[in-house]
Formats: sequence, structure tokens, C-alpha cells
Amino acid sequence: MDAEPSVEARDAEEFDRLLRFMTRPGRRFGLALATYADERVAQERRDLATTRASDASVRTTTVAVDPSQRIANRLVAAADGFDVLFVIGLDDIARDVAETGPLTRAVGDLNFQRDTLPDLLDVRIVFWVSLDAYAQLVRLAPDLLDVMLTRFEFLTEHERLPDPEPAPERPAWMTASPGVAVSVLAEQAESFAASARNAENELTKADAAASAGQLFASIDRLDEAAQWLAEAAAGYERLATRDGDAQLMLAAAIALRHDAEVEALRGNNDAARRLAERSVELLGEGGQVPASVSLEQLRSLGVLATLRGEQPTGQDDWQLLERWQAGDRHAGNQLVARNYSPLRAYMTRRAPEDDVEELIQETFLRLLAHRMRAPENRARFRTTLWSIARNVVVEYYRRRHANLDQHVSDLDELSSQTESEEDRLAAITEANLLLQALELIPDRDREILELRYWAQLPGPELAARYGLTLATIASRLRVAKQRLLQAYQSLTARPTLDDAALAQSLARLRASIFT
Amino acid sequence: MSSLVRATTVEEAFHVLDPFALVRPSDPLYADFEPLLPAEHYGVTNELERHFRGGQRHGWEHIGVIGHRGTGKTTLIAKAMAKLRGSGLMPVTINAQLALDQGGFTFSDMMLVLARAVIGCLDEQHIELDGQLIEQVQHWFAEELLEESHRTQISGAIAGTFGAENKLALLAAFSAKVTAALQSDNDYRRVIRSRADRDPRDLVRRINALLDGAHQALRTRQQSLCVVFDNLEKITDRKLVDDAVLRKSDEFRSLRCHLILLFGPADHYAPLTVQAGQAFSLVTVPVLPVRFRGDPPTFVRPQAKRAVEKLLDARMMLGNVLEDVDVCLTELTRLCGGHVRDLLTLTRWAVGLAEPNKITPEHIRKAARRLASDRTVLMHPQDWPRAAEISRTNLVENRPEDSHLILHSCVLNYNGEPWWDVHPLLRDDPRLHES
Repeated sequence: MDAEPSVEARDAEEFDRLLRFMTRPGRRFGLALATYADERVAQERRDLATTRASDASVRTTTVAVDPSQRIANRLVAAADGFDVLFVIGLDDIARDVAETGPLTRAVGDLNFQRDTLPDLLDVRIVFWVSLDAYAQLVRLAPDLLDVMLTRFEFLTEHERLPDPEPAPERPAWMTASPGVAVSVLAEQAESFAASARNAENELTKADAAASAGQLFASIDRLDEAAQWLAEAAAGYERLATRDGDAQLMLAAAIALRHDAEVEALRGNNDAARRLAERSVELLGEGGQVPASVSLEQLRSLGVLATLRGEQPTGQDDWQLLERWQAGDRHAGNQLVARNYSPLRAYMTRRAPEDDVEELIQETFLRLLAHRMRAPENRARFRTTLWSIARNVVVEYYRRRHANLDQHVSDLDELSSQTESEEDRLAAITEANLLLQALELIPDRDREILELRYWAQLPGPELAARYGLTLATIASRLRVAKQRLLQAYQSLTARPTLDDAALAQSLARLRASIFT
Repeated sequence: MSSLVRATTVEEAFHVLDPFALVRPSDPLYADFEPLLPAEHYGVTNELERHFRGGQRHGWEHIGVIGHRGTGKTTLIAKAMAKLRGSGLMPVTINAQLALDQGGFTFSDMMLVLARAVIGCLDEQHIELDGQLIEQVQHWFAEELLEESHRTQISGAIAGTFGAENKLALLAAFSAKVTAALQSDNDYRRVIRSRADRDPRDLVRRINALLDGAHQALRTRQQSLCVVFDNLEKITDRKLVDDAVLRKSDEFRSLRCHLILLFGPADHYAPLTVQAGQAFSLVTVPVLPVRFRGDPPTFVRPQAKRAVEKLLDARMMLGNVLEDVDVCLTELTRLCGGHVRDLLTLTRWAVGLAEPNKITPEHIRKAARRLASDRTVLMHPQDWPRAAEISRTNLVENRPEDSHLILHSCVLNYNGEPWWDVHPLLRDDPRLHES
């Protein structure tokens, strides 16, 4: 059998085919699809194809889809004076997990209009979509895909640009309880430290040391935190080894991971790495099924991944997966550590922070459970991983929507005990209308409103998250609220909501969904 | 008729396989391969003709045609209609994808769209309807279905377009505006629906009055209407079809015209509530019988290969396009699984990979691997074991996984004694072997 050509060689062939599609004689109208692994590569191919085709007097332009406009109309408007249209901006369909966003609707609409396209357009059109968005496009626009004259596939990826050194994040467990004075926490920490010094029972000593370490960390006394967490880890490990107790081994691993996170905050990355590695090792000794990944293991691997950055090991991810599936825990750890950070970034953009780790865990577990294998073309491991991750997120939201139905009933029940029938119905109607209105506004508006009113992020935190000034965030929020209210008004003749009423209604909706 | 000319080179073959260049039965590039296939495995046109020839003797025929997307249902119906035209059938085709709101349509929407299509067809062919009937229908559309502001708006939009004497053209334009409003999610639609839905029996009675009037007008031509609801099977929200069509089959069957409704196989084999076969007489458009039940997976029946050859040979000089005609035809027949659109897509993609050289079997296999991704990307992990099971038992069941596999043609419906198998494009996937 011939050796598989390299990805680069295949891309070169695909480029030639793309150019031939653009410049071939014959009917002017025709549709094609180009899929790609890396947006930057796609951009380069488009630019080069545009230049090369112009040598053959073929005029090409690139059109970004505007979800607020029918795609066919946009193409008709853009086509004047051109022979080839490159259509971009479809990738966000992959992020519309609820499939209710304007872009999803626009793509569905284009699918229904398929048969009218040859009458509307006299150009060749290439739709460009990422591999992530391709699956969604197949689902949303099957009729459109049926009439693609040809398909191009660009699998080349640029070297990943090194991510800027991430500022160490403060883990949630280190956050002090709101409303509790630092002096009170310090007093409690000292008290636990004293117990850890004086107690005779080893387990009591370890428990007290762990509590002291966590409390010192929460008030930024990191040296003392590191000292007590190390004591706790050592104590738990001794007991676990002596008694063969898996729970104590888990406690030791958690103390080590906490210690690693404290060391990372102190800037002692080597020490942090060693501690995190030891934590992972201990979890491996805890009698777990080899081909599995626990939440705690994931957290420790997450710490390692953050510390290491993405370090290629020379091992193909598919090979690591196969070894992991065969029971090689070390390969599994490597695979998780290599993919943890990007997967976390993916999930963080899509789900509330509290649920992110469980979604990551579920993704890795599915990767194992479904016995994934490298496809014949050795497509990117990450493409497969994203595809699983996406399904995990979709199911998560479906569950949440199911909960919503239940909670709207609960709201109904609760309201009936405290409010008049009229108020109760009004509240339920309003909740439903707001939900519908949220689905009508652009994704970015919905996202900022959800973060503000549901995740309850204050303005400065939103500003930090988006990398914008407070004034800009305030302006974005104002626009998003206006759009939401417009959408709300388009659904009902009820009086509009003022700012306070909107905030109250969104908070109420949040309670019905998340409680 | 298409403007296509039989391809003599690989480059030309790319164009004669353009999916938008529809080859209708009247086109020189059309290949009637049905006579080559065993009637018990693929006798679609004859079966349709039998229904209508019998139906015209005994009453109105209300038929469901089921088949996967891309198996040529529309073409086969067009072929049957062309044959039956001589026997007095006048087809009125409605593209359900374009005429109905895919986000949500109702039975009454379908009835109004049907009325509008019949009026439009009569107007196009300059067939005079009784003046009193036109006034009644106009009154129904304008006064009873609409509120005043909408009526004024539509009247304003079409004012001056037609002379006062051309009442049918005016009604056609008016009804077109009303049915267009059914695709906009606004108050006008809500009003129309609430008024049309008030009494379904009255709605059917009014449609029948129109159909009777149309048939009265067609009496001198000895013609009767056959309304075809095309592309219903392409509506992805199956619940819409279940609610508006299958659960309203009594009402559809009481229409006084011939009726053909196109369904997907899942509407019959994995229905949501009402099975298509319980609701209507069924004609199945299977995939080509490339294998009979019990044949090994790589086997290719010579009759099906000849059908594929005839289909492609009508469009291109095979010797100029395929490197080894016999081997390439075997590969194309095997890998398409008898699915006609997949056959054309495979060939076109193979052309794209091969040109300017001739297509080799390796080009076909490479094209097949690409085409497979359109299907595998839709497979959920739980679908693979089920697909493997269907491949073993050759049966599908009424369960969600099967519905999903049928809807996306991951498993194919073969006729004869009806049986199912996984699409050959998926057969080489390791996930199927592991299941």
C-alpha cells in the first residue's frame, strides 16, 4: 500500500482543486464546501487563491455572514461584479448548543432556500467552515450539502503560538468566605495550627494541619499555608500507607494538590510541579480502575498542565489514548495533562465555572468509554475531542432545559402558596417570555447578560474577563439589555420592564434554572 | 429540459453531474433504468401507475410515497405523472420546503397552500372557473380569513396589477399573499390560523368545493387534479409532519382530488404516532437492489450494475471518463449502496479528484471516504452498535436510534422482501467493526 501523503502534500492538492473549481470554464453557478483545521491556514489559502485566480481574470471576494440578514440576500448583494464568493463567518454555529441563535436560524433558512439559489446567483460559492462547525452544518443544512459540487479539506495547522504566561489563578478553595473578617480567619487558622502541633492522635493532627493550611492560604499567608499543607499531606500519607485506607490516600493527594497550588502562587513552579506529580501518583495508588479519571485526578492534572504549558512529548495523542485504553494510566495522565488547558478554556466559554470540571471529566470518560480510534486520515485528535466535548455541553444544556421545565412547575407551585393567581400567572408568563427573548438576541449579548445576572459577576470582573474598560462593559451591558427588552416587547403587548424589574426577573429566572 | 450535453471528457463529466442540473424524464440525458431491474425489487413507476389507473376507476387516490432523500422520488413521480397525463391526470406540485414555514406549520396551513396551488395552476393554464365559485373563494380568503388591516394591505399591494375582469388572476395573486403570510411569524398569521382552524370539517368542505369547481372546469379536458406535496420528507422536525399530516390523514383522505405525499422511511418504520402506511396507501422507493438479502456485503448484483451503467452512460462516455469501466462501475455500484444521489456524488467527487486524468477505482474509494464523513459525523456513539445489529438482522425497529439512522440514510431500505442494511460508506469504519 502507498504511504499516506503528508497533511501538507494533501493540502497542496486540495488547493489546486480549489483553484480549478474557481477558474474552470462552464456554468458560472456552483457551490462547494471547504473545511479547515486552522482558521489562519484557511485565511492564507483564501488570500492565495484570490490572487492566483485573479491571474486568470477571476474576481473573488470574501463575504462574512451577518446573522441578522438572510444569507441568500447577503450573497446576492455581495456577488455583483464577482465570479467567486468565499463565504465565512459560519463557525459560530458550533457554539450555538441550544440551536436557537440567529446564525443557526439563518443557516437553516439558507438550507430551505437551496433550490432558489441558482436563480438568484450567478457566481461560484465556496462556504468555509472549521472542522468543529462542519458536524453542525451537516445537521442544520443537509439539503444544502447535498448539492455541493465538490469539497475541499485543509488539515494543515500552524504551530501553536506560545500562550502568554498565564497569571496564576486563585483556586476557589482559597477564596475567603465573604463577610468574614480576615482577623477572624487568622484566629481560626492559628487555632487549627495549635491543634496540629499539640494533638496526639495522628489523624486529628493531619486534619487540623489541612484546615490550618487552607485558612492561611485564604488570607494570603502563603508560607504558613505551604508548611501546614505539607504536614497534612505527609500525615495522611503515613496513615494511608499504614492502614491501606484509600480515603486517607485521597486526602493526602488533595493536601498535596492544595500545597502545589500554594507553591504556584508563591512562584515556586518546580516545587509546585513536584507536588502535583506526587498527588497524581498517590491517586494512582488508590486502587482506582486504571482506565478512568477521577475529578481529583483531573484537578491535579489540571495544576500540572497549567504549570507545564503545552509540552509536546513526541507521542501522538492517538497513541496515548490507545495505551490509556489498554490500561496504561501514565499515558492517560499524559494525555489529560496535554489537553486539559485548551479543553478547560473551551468549557469555560460555554458553561458556568462550577460545572466546568465535571464536564471536562465527562469528556475524558467518554473518550475512554466509546473506544475512540484514530480515523484513517489521522485527523486531529483535538477535533475528535472537541466533537465529544461539544456533545457533552449540548447534553448538559438539554438537562438544564429539562430542569427549567421542572423548575417552572416548581415556581408555579411555590408562587401559588404566596401570591395571587394573577401574580402567579404573570410571573410564569414573564419567565417564559424572557427565556424566549434571550434566545432572540445575539450570542454575545446573551452571554454578557448571563454572566452579569446569572453568574452575578460584578462590573470589574466582567471588565477583566473581557479585557475591556469598565465604561465599555457598562455600554455593552446597556446595549444587551436594550436588545433583550426589544425582543421581549416583540413577543408581548405587556408593558416594558424597567431596569430594576428586568434585573429582578432575570434573577428569578436564574433561580428557577439553577437552584 | 436541461442544456446539458453528454460528456466526452473527464472535465465535461463534472458539469453533467451538477446536482442543480436536474435531468427530468423528458431530457435526452435521462436514463430509464427501471426496466433493467427486477420488478419485485424496484417497480416504482408501475406501482404508481397501477394505483392511479385503478383509482380513476374507483375514486380518489391518496398515496404516500416513502423513500430516503436522494433516491429519486421526485423524478420517478414526474415520470409516472408524464405517463399518466395521457390518462387525464393533471399534477399540481407543491414544494413543502418552500411553501410551508419550516419552523412550524399546521394542517390548515397545508390546506390553504393546497388551495392556492390549485388556483395558481388553473390560472397559469387559463382554465376558467365558475364566476360564483371564484367570488366565494375570494370572500373566504379576503373576508373570513383576514382582518381588515391585512386585507387592505394585500389589496393595496396587488391593486392595478390585473384588470377587473380577470378575477381568477386576482384570486391567484391574493391567495398567494395570504399563504405567504403563513410563513411570517406575525399577528396576521395568528389571525389566519385561528380562523381557518375554527372548524376543520368546514375547512375541508371549502377546499372540496374549490376542487369540485376545478374538476367541473376540467371536465371538457377529461382531466383530474393530482396534488403532490413534494419534499415533506426533507422537513427535519418530524413532529410537524406527524401533527399536520399523519394525524390528519382522515381529513386528507376526504379531499376530492388525487394526492401524493412524500415521506421519509422513518415516518413508516419508526413513526412518532401514526404510521405512514396506516394513514395512506404506500408506494416505496427503495434504493437500487445492488444486493439481495443474504448476499455478502461486497457482492454487486449485475442488474443493479447495469442500471448504474445506463444512468451514467446517458450522461457521459464511460470509456473516456473511467480508466477501467467494468471495475469502476462495480466500485461505484457497491459503494453507493444503491442510493442514486450518492452514486452521482461519488462519481462527481471522483472526477474532481482525478481530473484531468481518468477516474480509477482508487479515486472512487477516496471519494467514498470523504462522503462517509457526512454520515459518520452524525453518528452518536450509541448508533454504532445499533447499526451493527441492523446489519446482522436486516430489520429496523420503532426506536429513536433507528429513526436517526434512517433519517440520515446511515442504514438503507432495500425492497423485495423489505430489508435493511448499513450504508456501504460506513461499512469500513472501525467503530462499526468494534460494535
